[in-house]
This record gives sequence, C-alpha cells and structure tokens, in this order.
Amino acid sequence: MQQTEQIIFLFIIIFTVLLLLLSSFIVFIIYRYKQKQNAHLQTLQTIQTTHENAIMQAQLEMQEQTFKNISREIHDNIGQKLALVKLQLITLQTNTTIPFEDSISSIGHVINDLSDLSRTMSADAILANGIVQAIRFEVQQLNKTALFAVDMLVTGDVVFLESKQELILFRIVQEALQNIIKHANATVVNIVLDFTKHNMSVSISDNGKGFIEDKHIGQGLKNIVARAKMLDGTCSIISSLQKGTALKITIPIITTTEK
Amino acid sequence: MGKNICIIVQLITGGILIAELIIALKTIKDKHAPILMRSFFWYPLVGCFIFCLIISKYLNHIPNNIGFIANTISLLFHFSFLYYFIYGITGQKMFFKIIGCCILIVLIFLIVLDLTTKYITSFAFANAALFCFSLYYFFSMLVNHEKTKLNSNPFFYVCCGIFIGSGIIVPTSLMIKYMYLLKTPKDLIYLVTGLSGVGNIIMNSFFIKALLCSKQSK
Repeated sequence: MQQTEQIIFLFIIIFTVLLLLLSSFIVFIIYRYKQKQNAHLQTLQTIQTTHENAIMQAQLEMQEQTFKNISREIHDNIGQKLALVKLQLITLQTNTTIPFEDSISSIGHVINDLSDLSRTMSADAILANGIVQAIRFEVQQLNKTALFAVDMLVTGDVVFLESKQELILFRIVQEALQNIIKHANATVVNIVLDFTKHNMSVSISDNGKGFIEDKHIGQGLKNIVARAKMLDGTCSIISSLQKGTALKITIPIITTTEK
Repeated sequence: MGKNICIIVQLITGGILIAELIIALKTIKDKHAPILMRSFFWYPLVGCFIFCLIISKYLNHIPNNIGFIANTISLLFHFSFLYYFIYGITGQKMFFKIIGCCILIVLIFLIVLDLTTKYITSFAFANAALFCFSLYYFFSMLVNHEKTKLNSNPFFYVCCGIFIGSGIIVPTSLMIKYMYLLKTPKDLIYLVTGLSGVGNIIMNSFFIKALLCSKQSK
C-alpha cells in the first residue's frame, strides 16, 4: 500500500515537472517572439527616421538652391534693371524731353521678375501644381539665364505623385541640372518626363563634355542614385567623353488625390 | 481512488467540451473571426458525441464494438482536424501536406494493429505527430515574426493547447501501455489515464481561449 502511494506521488511529481517544462517552453517562445518583434520594430523605426532625415535633407538642399537662385536673380537681373531705371530717372532730371515709357516698362519687367521670384521661395509653392509644373518653371528660369537651351517634353497621362515622392524627385532634377551647369559645358539640355500606368521616368540628357562613368562619380551623382533608391526606383547614367551625359530615373507611381 | 479520479477528469472534460461547443457555435456567424476558427465547432461537436458514447458505454447502454468504432473515429478525427488546422495556419506548404498524409496512413495501420490495446500506441503516435506540428508552428512563427500580438492571436492559443496537451498525452499514453505490459494494478493505470485526461482538459481550455480571442479580434 505504501509502495503504491509512493508510485502515485512519483507520478504526480513527474506530471508536474512535465507540465512545467511544457509551460516554460511556451513562455520561452513568447519571450523570443517579443524580442524579435521589438527588434523588428526598432529596425522599422530606424528606416523611417532615415527616410524622414533624407526628406528633410532634400528640403534643406532645395531651400539652399532656391536662395542661390534668388541671389543670382537679384544680382544679375533685377539689380541690373533697377540700375538702368535709376540711370534713366537721373537723365530725366536734366533732360525732360526723353520719354519715360522705357523706365515704366523696365519697372514692369522688374515687378514680373519679383513675382516669379516670390514663387520660388518655398518648396510647397514650387510643388503646389505638381512635379511637371515645378520642372517646367525650373526650365523657364534656366532658359532665362541663357546658359544653355533647355527643352522639356512630357509624354503619357500626367498624374500627381505623393508629395514626398515629388519633393525628392524634384530635388533629383535640380541636382542633375546643377551638375550640368557646374561641369558639363553643355549648349543643349533635354528633359523628358514619361508617365506610364505604373511608373514615371525622368530623362535628362545634355551635349556637354561628358565624363568617364567609373572615375568621376561625384557626391551629386551619388545623391541622385541614393534618392532614386529611396523612391524604390532605378537610376541609370550613361556618359561618353565629348558626347554628353544621359541620366534616367524611373520610379513607381504612388498617386495622391490631394492636388 | 484511481478510477474515481479518472471519472472526475472525464466529467470535467465533458463539461469543457460542452462549453467549447457553445462558444464555437457562437463564433460561426462572427464575420470578424478567422475562417478556420469559424469552422472550429466541428472539433467540440465530435468531442461531445464521443463523450456521450463513453457515458453510454459506462452505463452499459451500447455494446463494446460500437465503443471501439467511436474511439477509432474520434482518434482519426482528432488527428486530421488538428493537423489540417496547423496546415492551414502555417502557409499550406507541400512538404507539410505530404508528411501529414504519410502520418495518416501510418496511423490507420497502427489502429488496425493496435485493436487489442485500446489504441494506446496509435493515440500516442497521433499526438506525437501533433506535438511536432505545433513545434513547427512555433519555430515558423519565430522565423516569420508577424506583426500580430500573441495575446490576441487565436491560432497561437490553439497551438499552445496542442503543444501542452500532446506533450502530456504522449508520455502518459506510453506509460499506460508499459503498465499494461507489466500488469500494474488497475488503480494506478486509471490514475495515469486520469493524468492523460488532464492533458485533454488543458488542450480544450486553450481552444476555448482561442475561440474567445477570435470573437474579440473585431
């Protein structure tokens, strides 16, 4: 009888240990799962922070570029026109027979230029009418400088992209155009925007001096490639010496209904 | 004493099965509950049917051979249903399907061979397979680390139930088989059978929790 009781006691202990072991395993699985889930969340947060930083960086660079444009515009264009008007007004003081319509016309031009400038003051204003209009405006500004002839072509049905996508893409175009201004010595620049059902591509080509692709990849081009990747897109750069450079960025379309 | 424990455990199992059936029937029409959980009512339904047969057998209302048939159906259904459930939640992989079919064939063979010892080996085998499947679910869960919270995931509770339930049933069943061979006193065999029944109670308790979770998932 005592032996049977001992066996029963033994059974109960074995059963309890077994139950504890199985429960411990479940607890371990839950612990590991939560650990993995936390690590996954942290990775996601890091990616999100990096993405937000990149967008902020793009915004800052765009602002900097805008300020440079404004500074150049005030110095080279508006300043010159106002100096001319000042001269005309000084002449009018001594010689009243000279017609002052020229001065009025010059001031009208200055007012128009100032109006254009005010539109370039913020990223929101630039992208308010979508990427196509923003690039078109940039082309107009460049054509005014007469550094080179810029031609723009839009094919396919234009769609409004998601605002962050537009901002980064516009910054890519600005960077590419700045590269052409700084290094290419080009006379003609072609910009083609192509919209398909799922993708949008921007091609920027010039007839400048070109470069050896592997050797002369500068920070500007690296930024372009990195930003294209950030948009889940692809970037191809083809360049040959004395023939020019062609840059093509293709990104998936994420549409928005905001605009 | 052992027999009394065994009967008490059987009665508790019956009560839990009835409660599970009621909750499962309420889940059928819940559109927010996962489809697998909505069809879960079959498990307690068959369980209740088998429970009624066992009670009838105790009261000598049905002949022994009907009891055997009921046991066979119960074992095959228990394995097939829970296997199909894990197969459904682990992404319906081909190798899993093949393994499941192979185990089912082996199980049928074992049942035929095991007729004299009240299916103890087959029962242990089926539960060992389910134990391995639930382990596979846990490891695949760790590899895939989904975004869902575990405490509101009905599939996790079902697998926990299978894991703990089978983890208890397999060694106790094998022990019962061993005790029969050693001609151990019947009282001890009943006690171990009762402990095996506790595994069943834990399993079904987890299933109830899973059903409640799937109702709350809205």
